[in-house]
Amino acid sequence: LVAAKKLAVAHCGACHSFEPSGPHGQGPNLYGLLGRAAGTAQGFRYSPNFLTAMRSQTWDRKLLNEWLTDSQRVAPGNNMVYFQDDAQKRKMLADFLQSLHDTH
Amino acid sequence: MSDQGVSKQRRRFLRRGGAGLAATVVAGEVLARPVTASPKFDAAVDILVVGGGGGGLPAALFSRWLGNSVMVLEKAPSLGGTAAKAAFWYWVPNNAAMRQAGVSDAKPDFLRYVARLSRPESFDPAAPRFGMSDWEYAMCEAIYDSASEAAELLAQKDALPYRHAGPVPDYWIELPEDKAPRGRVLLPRDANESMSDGGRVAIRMMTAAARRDGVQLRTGHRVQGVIRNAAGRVIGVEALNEEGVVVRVHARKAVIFATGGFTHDPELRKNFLNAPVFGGCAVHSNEGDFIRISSKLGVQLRNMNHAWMCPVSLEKAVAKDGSISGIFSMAGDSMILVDKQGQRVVNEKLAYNELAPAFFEWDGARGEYKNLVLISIWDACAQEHSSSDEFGRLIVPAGADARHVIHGASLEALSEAIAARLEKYRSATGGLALSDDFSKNLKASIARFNGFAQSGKDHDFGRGERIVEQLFNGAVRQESGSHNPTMWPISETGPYYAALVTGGTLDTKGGPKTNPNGAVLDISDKPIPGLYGVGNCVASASGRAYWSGGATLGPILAFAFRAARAAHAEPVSA
Repeated sequence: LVAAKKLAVAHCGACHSFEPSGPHGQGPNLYGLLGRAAGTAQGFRYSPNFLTAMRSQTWDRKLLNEWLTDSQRVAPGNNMVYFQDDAQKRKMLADFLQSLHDTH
Repeated sequence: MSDQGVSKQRRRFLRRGGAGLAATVVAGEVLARPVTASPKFDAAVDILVVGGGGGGLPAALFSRWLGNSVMVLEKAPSLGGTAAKAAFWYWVPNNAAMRQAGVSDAKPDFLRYVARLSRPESFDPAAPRFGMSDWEYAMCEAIYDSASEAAELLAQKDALPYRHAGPVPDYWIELPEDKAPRGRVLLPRDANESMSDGGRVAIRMMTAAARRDGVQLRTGHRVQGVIRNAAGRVIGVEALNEEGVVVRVHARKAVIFATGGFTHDPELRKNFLNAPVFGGCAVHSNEGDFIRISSKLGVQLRNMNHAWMCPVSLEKAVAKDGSISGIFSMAGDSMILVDKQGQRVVNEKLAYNELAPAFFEWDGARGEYKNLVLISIWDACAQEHSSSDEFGRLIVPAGADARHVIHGASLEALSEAIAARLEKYRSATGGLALSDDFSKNLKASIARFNGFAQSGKDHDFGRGERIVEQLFNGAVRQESGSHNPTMWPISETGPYYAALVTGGTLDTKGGPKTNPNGAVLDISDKPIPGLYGVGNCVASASGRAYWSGGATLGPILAFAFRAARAAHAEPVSA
């Protein structure tokens, strides 16, 4: 997970924060992303194209994998341009994002 | 990356490539050049573009549309560079929308306007080059000649459809040299109504077009050097990918660099910029790569002392916050900027590039940058009516990142909170602290400002008197008694708010000198065969000037277009 975190910071960290209640940047805070309804991060202004495509979807590993493969294919015209052809890197990013949740 | 890191990596590359080093003395300059009988390449294309942002993506598209095979190597894990964070207005003289609307923008008028602002010290409207050097003049001519053609082609190919920001004024509309004061600004068609998110729109559209049209896009590839053949022609690059593997790509015709400036290289900033900036808005991958790579090639660095300047939040700059934006708009009417003694020192509404130098005023008696940090102060009314999360504004709405906002129920409490916040940054600011009489002076400054606000006339700094100052005023409460929308009296009662502001760069604008076709020139002013540069990685002919909104990207599109055309015409190397 250390390597996964490093990869996530490099790939996502310029626009997203990861810590609980971290600030939104160019993109929303990603703490607790998996299991969350898409487009519901408090206080973040999503693009209309994102909301149109993602409304009623919930972030799970499958959706996240598709998103990381080509975010523009999942939600055409949304603000995030990211595509990752390497399945191993996608898995590492998803592993890290999945680790970001409250433990009870 | 440190110098040492670069040279270490370079040695590793040379070892892996099995290349020897030959040093050739050319006109007093030592050129280190890898010489290999048959360099081993991992891939080959006609034109290789280094950097996938606002210069690289159009350069790649223009190259591709001429029939070339094209690859983009981007250092960061995703495309877009600094342009993705920008509003992506692009300033296009004599553009098609102006021509259609019958707005005249003659070439000599355009050139006089840019000369007046770029070389004010030698400007002469009657001189053949208006006071610019031959090189500056030729570069500015190229902008006039090609920006519109570039914009039209991008639009026709559905890579960057635009809309015309007809009413948006140039930043120096009052100058007699500005004969086409409105109409030169275009922006991505699908940008939002407030025209703030054009960069994300432009990058996603140009990326989609690049993928559609078969441009190979490779992220996570840090180009660290060019490969030249025995004749000195640049025939490729070596890059380090994310896994640390060296990748060498052959460019049969040319390599076009579009790697951005050196905003995030403290060493280059310290030694070239004329001000101690903390950094700025550019993406973190803008580390001056092309300065280092080209330094081995005997180039001429130009305009290294100037940058596209803007105020920035001190705290975000020091934290190297990736979401940092330039403060394009010091929003709010009941808002002022004061120095550490609580005094106003500047017209707060100056356009960003012109406000930024105020932070670097040198106090020759005290031996200090007395305004290195200024403090923006506003009241509850400005907080309520002028908050926005666009254009890097400091007054942000509820729910937005507000870590930079300092609160105080009274001016005394606010002053204490400001002092405490500044204390946190002592080591970054040379110990900058509030004076003992800050709170008292602040009250006097507010009282004086409030008088100006009531009459609508700022007798100290002329705030709000120029068109551009109102362009960036942001939303304010409609006040029936207001004579000047940029000023309203600051409330006598709290709560009050504050933020620490310093000067920064959107990005730098110095680098190797190119010719008007983007060919990088050697020390005898001859093109280095096969090597091109566009955008903030090469020298801008603008001097210190920021001619208008979009004066960064309009010229960049023009030079991307011209470089692609020239690269396309290069002979094919084996």
